[in-house]
Amino acid sequence: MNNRLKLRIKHTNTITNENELVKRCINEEREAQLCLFNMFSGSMHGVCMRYAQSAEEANDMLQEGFITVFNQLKSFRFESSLKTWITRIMINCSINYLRKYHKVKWDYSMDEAEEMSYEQPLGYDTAVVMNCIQELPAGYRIVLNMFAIEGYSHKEIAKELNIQEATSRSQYAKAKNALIKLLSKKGIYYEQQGARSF
Amino acid sequence: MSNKEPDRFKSDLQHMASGYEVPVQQEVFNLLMDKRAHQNKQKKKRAFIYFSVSLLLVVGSVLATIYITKPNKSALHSTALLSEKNQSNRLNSSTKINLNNNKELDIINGGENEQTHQPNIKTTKSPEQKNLATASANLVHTKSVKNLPTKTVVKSSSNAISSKPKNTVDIKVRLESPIEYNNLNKEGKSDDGLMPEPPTSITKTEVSKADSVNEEKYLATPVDSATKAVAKTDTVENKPIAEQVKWRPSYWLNTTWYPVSALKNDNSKLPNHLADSFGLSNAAHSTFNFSGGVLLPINKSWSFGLGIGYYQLNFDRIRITDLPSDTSVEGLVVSSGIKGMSKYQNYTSEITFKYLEVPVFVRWEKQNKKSFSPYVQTGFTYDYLLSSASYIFEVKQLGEVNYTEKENAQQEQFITHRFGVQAESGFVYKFNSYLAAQAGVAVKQDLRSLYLDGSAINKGTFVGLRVGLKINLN
Repeated sequence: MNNRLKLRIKHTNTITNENELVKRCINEEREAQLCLFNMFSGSMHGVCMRYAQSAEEANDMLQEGFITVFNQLKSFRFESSLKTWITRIMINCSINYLRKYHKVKWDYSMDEAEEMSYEQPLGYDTAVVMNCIQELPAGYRIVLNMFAIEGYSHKEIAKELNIQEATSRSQYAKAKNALIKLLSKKGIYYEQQGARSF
Repeated sequence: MSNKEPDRFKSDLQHMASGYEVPVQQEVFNLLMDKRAHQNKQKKKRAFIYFSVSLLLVVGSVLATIYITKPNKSALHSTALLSEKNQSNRLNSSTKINLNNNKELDIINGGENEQTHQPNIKTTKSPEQKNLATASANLVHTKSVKNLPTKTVVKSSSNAISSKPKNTVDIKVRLESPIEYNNLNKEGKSDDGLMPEPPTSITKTEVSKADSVNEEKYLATPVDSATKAVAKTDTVENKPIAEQVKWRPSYWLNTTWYPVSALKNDNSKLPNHLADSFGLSNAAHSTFNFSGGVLLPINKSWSFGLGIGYYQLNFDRIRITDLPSDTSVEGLVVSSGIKGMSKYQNYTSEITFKYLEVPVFVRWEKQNKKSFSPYVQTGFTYDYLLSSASYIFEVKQLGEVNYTEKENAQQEQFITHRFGVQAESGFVYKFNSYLAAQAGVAVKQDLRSLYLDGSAINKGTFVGLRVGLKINLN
């Protein structure tokens, strides 16, 4: 068993080990940094994929995110789990990336989108759903991810994105409808009742 | 199932996302570490450049100041000429030169010590003129010559601090009668048994004139040509001293502290798209600004300023991760500009253009004789902020950030422009001619602000306190 693997096993479970891993990363130990990267890169790449429009963008977001993680690790105060902390960094880096390269525009029309009826799926292909999310406009994608997946409230989203709370609600409703439409095109979701599930 | 159960949609997505992992190749890690190393290298390079530029500015300012103050040497030169004249005429004289430019220099050439054949030189000088006096003394090589009955006291004053015009030169020449104590015996009589004659010649002549001295007054005194030459030389050589008075560089040290955004913008009054485009936010923060520099007069109306400052933004919270609440972004502000001054009645108006920091403002300062001088100033502000903070990559400004052209370095460079209006009022307390302190209250309204993590953080109206120190080199 090589050292890297040992380190990985050693640091996966307890907070003490996480502590040590963080300290070693702060000390710029390459092995520890690699270990941390290996521990979280898969799931974080998944996070980035949800926000990105393509795999290449997700890679860029992941890189930026991990650079931020390594630079800011000394400010990690162990008030949350390391994974939660890293996830938040990834989300913020992803949003920043989108703002920078996609010129995120918010739909400020206050009218609530009329919610569509749909059939709840019983099964689905994650990759296909991800592709559909990636096809959404950046603004929709951000709010959908933050509200539906990350669990932010509209108030929190409004604060984070510096938009109105109503804008966030409207954005989410429209994003949801758009996603259902896309999924239905893929044969996963159906807009009308009685449709088959996927 | 219908949309009446929206949680199901959320939970479905959450369930899907929770187990969603995308394998990452090892090369990605190597790439990002290389990228990070490159960014850190760039950061250090920039820090070095900032430091070098700062150092150059400071050194340049000091050198410029030294150069500007160089005309003081004319005083030395004057003294030297004076001494040379004394030497050439072999005067056993006591020469007192009072350069009342806050400098006092007394040189008494008491003649040569006959045993050591060293010139007896006594100097009394004010502390700040120690070097000047020492230098002057070194230049004096007057040897004692007996029986030359002239004691010359030359007073020259050019007082720029007083209410007199700057170009005024007062030269006071006191010519005292022949007193040659070397010829006196123990009883105080001269060797020929006679008491020394009282000074029957004109014993004191005072000349006060701007820019030039009426030589006729000197000529009217029954002194020898050497003394006249001394007076004449002194008069001519003092001109530059008077002229240099207006070339007074001044130093300033200023600090401004905006404790917290006192007034918040009301987003609701603006259309949403406008509010968002301006990035209105309620995130509280404070700013701290410390600057210093030198103001070099170009002529009577204009001055050139060079300054350097330190700028710090303290945020109450950072929107990214759980960074400490006291996180700050630090930056270096380099400023330069020109300042014009004009005096109208009792008020001084100043117009200042600075390339960085604050470009245009107008200031009215009441010039009164009391120590307290109230002032009011207002103008447009423009902050050009460079930062090399460790949190640099988190700071962005939508549409206003000038990133470096280099690939992968886009999130390191942080240059932001901030526009605003500012009004300030306070007073200047003058301790003396050299030192003044300033205190005031400033209100600043940012029109375009800095963004942090995509969110505006300092949009609003701020009330700040400003304290400063101003040193005039005289």
